[in-house]
Amino acid sequence: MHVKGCRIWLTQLFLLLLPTIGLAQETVATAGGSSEAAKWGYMAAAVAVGASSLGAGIAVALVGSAAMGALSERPELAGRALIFLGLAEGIAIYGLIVAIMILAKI
Amino acid sequence: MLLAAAGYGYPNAKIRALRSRRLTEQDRHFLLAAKDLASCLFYLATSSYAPCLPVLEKGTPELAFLERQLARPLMDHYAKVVRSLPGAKERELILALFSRFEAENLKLILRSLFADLSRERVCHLLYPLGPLSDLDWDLFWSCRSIPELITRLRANIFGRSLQHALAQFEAQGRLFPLEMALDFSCFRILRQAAAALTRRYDLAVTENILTSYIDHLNISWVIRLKVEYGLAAEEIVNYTLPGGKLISLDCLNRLSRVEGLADFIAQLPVVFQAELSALRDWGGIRPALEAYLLKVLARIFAGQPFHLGIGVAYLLEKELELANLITLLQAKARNLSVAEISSALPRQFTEG
Repeated sequence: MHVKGCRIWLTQLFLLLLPTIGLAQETVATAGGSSEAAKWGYMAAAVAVGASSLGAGIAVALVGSAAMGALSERPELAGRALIFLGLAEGIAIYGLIVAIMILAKI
Repeated sequence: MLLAAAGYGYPNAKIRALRSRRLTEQDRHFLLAAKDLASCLFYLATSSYAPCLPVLEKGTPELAFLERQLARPLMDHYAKVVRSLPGAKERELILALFSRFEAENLKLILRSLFADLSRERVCHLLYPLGPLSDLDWDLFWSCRSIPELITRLRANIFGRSLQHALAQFEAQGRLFPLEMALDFSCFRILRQAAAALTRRYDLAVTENILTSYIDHLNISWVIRLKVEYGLAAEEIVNYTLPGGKLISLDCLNRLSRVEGLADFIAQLPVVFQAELSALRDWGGIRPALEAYLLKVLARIFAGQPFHLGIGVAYLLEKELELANLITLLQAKARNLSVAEISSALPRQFTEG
């Protein structure tokens, strides 16, 4: 059961990352005459955004469902729950910042 | 861990939120200090038990009726925990734990049939089971005799256990064998449900809780059957549950044979000796054992959060809180002093 679940997760991860890598390669190709470093830079930026978004998605799913559980019994905890949801969402922003830093260096 | 968090994130948060609405240290302090039952109930109306209390302005309600009304939140919480769990096997375990209340209601029907009391006279003593119970209670109440009730129940595990105990009931002319058969069948369902769990961590934690609970019950039952009922040692051992954590069958044999309290405590495993060594009378055993069980249950909430044990531990904790609240209300109704009431309650209830 767990092995099956892990396989599903890995397949989903692969399917999510595949287009971002493809898009990065396409960008490098259209830039024309870019160096090898630029190609890897674009790919790294794509992976940083894709993986961090995926991580944020998982975190928001977990924190969100737990928040819903707590809020159904203690609605007054909504403020605190939002803080933790924000922290989870922050993971995607870290990836975006890293991607911007990489792109700025190219 | 990620899969466990995905499965148990919601129930864990919900159960902890439910747990946060237990009686606080301040609540318990004021309840203990209340001058009589009416003051106790008025204070209780400011707690999480408020929705299940009857209108107090009309006068203090009958205590037996009140006891069952106070069980309403516990029944609701069972339903909430069952709904929040991710898998059928996990839900089965909680329903197996819940079947103890169905057994209590069946005992009441048996007693009413035995004493020839009408449904109207005893129905206020029934646990308000709600939609979690799928037994046909109207059908059971329509029975005219105990064998007829057992025949109607034959499709489920309660009926089969009662069928086995029917001969003993007829030979002895008392309900005790039937009542014990119902208790045994509950724990059989519970052990089967625990054994069917697929996650190893769920199984380990649940086994730890259930075996500790069985130890607690076995010690309490040995004392009750020995001191209150005066049964023979062999009979006492027959009426104990198999599969305790620290209390083996040998230990139960020895416990059922010793006479004084000091010898009884000396025969217990070291963990229990440490908890009970200061006791001077049999009456102090129950609160001391409950204090130990509450300690075991509280430890479940301190470790890894994503498992079924959180739900099982919470529901048992809530059940003990309810039992202690009822003890406190009964003591207040009898105008006992704070010191006398405190001695009948586990130290977590009196000290916080």
